[in-house]
Amino acid sequence: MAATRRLQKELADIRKSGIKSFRDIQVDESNILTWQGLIVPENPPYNKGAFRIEVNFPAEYPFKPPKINFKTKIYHPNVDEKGQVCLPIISAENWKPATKTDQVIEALINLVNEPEPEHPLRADLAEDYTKDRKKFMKNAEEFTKKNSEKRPAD
Amino acid sequence: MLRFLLALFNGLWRSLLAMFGFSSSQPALTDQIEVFVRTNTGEKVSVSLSTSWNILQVKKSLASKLNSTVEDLRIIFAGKELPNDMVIQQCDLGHHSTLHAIRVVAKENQQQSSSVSNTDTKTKDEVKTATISEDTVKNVVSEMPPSPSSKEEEPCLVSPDPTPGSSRETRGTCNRLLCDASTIITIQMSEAEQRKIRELKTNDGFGERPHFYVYCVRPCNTVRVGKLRVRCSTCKQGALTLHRDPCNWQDVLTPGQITATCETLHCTGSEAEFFFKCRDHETSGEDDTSVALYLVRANLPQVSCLACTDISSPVVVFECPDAHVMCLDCFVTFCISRLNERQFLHDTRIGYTLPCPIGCQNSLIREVHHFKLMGDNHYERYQRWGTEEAVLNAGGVLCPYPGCGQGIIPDEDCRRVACLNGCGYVFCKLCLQGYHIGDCHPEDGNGPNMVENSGMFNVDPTRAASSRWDEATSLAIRVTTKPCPKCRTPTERDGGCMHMVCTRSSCNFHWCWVCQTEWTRECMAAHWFG
Repeated sequence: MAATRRLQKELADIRKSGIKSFRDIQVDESNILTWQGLIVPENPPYNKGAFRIEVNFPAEYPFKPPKINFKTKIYHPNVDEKGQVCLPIISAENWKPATKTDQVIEALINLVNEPEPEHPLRADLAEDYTKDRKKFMKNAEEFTKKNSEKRPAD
Repeated sequence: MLRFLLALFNGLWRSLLAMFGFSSSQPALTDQIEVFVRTNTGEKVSVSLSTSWNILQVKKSLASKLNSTVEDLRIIFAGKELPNDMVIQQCDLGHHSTLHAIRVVAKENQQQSSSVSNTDTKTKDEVKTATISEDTVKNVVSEMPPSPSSKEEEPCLVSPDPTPGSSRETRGTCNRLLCDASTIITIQMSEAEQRKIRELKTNDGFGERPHFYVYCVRPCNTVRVGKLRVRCSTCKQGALTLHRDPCNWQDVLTPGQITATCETLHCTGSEAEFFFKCRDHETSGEDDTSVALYLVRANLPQVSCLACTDISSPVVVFECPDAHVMCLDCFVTFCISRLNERQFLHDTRIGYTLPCPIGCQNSLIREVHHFKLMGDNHYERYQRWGTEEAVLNAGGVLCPYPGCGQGIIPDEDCRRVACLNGCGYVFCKLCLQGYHIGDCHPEDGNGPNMVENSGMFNVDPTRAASSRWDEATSLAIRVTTKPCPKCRTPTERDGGCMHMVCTRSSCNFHWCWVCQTEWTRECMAAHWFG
């Protein structure tokens, strides 16, 4: 099966690369189609915490894109209350079988660090982000401290 | 003692005979194979050959059977004359292969030659021809020793021959067969790739060889290594010599690209016709041909699959400028996942097909037999949908009667369509319900229209609708789906956002699940996620 073989390879590559902003990757031996990992953003206000995400690969992977969900609540214009995120690189029309998971994760980390208020999932947050950045930062930081996971020590 | 001497003498005599090729047709060796020899005058004999024989010995063995002399015989295989010193082993003759031993004399001198005596054979025109074709030669390349005339490494086989017919002069010098490695390399690879291969070859003499691949329908029913063969396009016999070698797929796949001299008696054919055979099974005859899967290649440059990143061989190489590579497993998964979503494209020239999965320009698969790799069930579905798509594209309709689906191209100005060659159902072209009189409003609602004023009873339409036999299905469809605002394909939303993209490949309309109109920025702002 193409999906299994490729995901095993991708998982090994990502683990080997030792990327700092995506770590603690957990994959159930019996189901390589679901990954969990910890996003550790660099930019404020999200650098006060870490965020657990789940990546779900369809059986038809890599001919269909994976789906990403935030398991940790995040105060972000591009992530809705259910944890759904709209990432262009994994939308059906942009998806290419050659796109690798590390590129997807990189795009996600970039989106977390630099919100895109032009394509919001939460219009209220996007409005604050563009019109009243100070208020947004304050709320986001408080929210992050209260809801996010602990950042790894190193 | 005397007996011993006799035995010794006998043994010596036999080995002498064998040395000169006079051994009987039963050399009693383990490497003996039986082949059929067909002459160009219609005779068919079976001969036993030892794989250690050379062509001269074969000629000697044939000469007695065909009532001819060694000097009169020419042995042609796959468009080339075989030189006397070529060994059968190099040809890797298969058991029960059919050789063509053709007793033709040059056409200009037919009368003369028919009465020709065994002694007078000096003029070239009187040379008799024995042609070996069919399945005689397998993977010749791999066993080809670096003999002086073996030019495996030559980049191109074209020996442009300005005057057709002058090829005779080159006879005897050319001992490479049609299907050797250089032919395969030239046809399958670019110059840069060929150079790379040659470098690889100098590093280590072994490793994988290039092959042609075919889809063998029977009996293998899978992708197999194939062999390139050639015959006369007029008489379909293999007794012909090519005027030049094929250099690319166009030479092989397009009829009339390469001229040849046909040696069959009374045949005036001058065009070569290439075809492929499966190399995995013993041939069942001359009609046992297979379709070349020209996108499938041996992965000599060790390119990794774009989907699973594994390096395997053979692989599918797409025709896009980047020549993207995919392993066969992933190619099958790719095709099936596209088929399941009915995302194949209908191309008026090619048919129902797919582009390179990266989405490159001009990368549509032109030989639809590649989709046979999906397996019988999927291929059957592929064919059915391909036909349906072709009918719809030609302005036709599909009979809406459950289980029928007959494709019909109706008259342009008539709304009433009868499924004549199918189930006989008569329906309205516009709403695809049973034929009705009066105006047709296919836009009204998603479900089937009520027939107006045609029934005998005046039944409340809502009540009638709830009493229909296939109520459950149509209700389920009506409840769970919404029609694409453009093409009206019933669409189910199984999650995700409200931004819908029509699943029909020829539509691909972007629409909003909530508004049921085109997807806009307002939809995004107002109810992207419901």
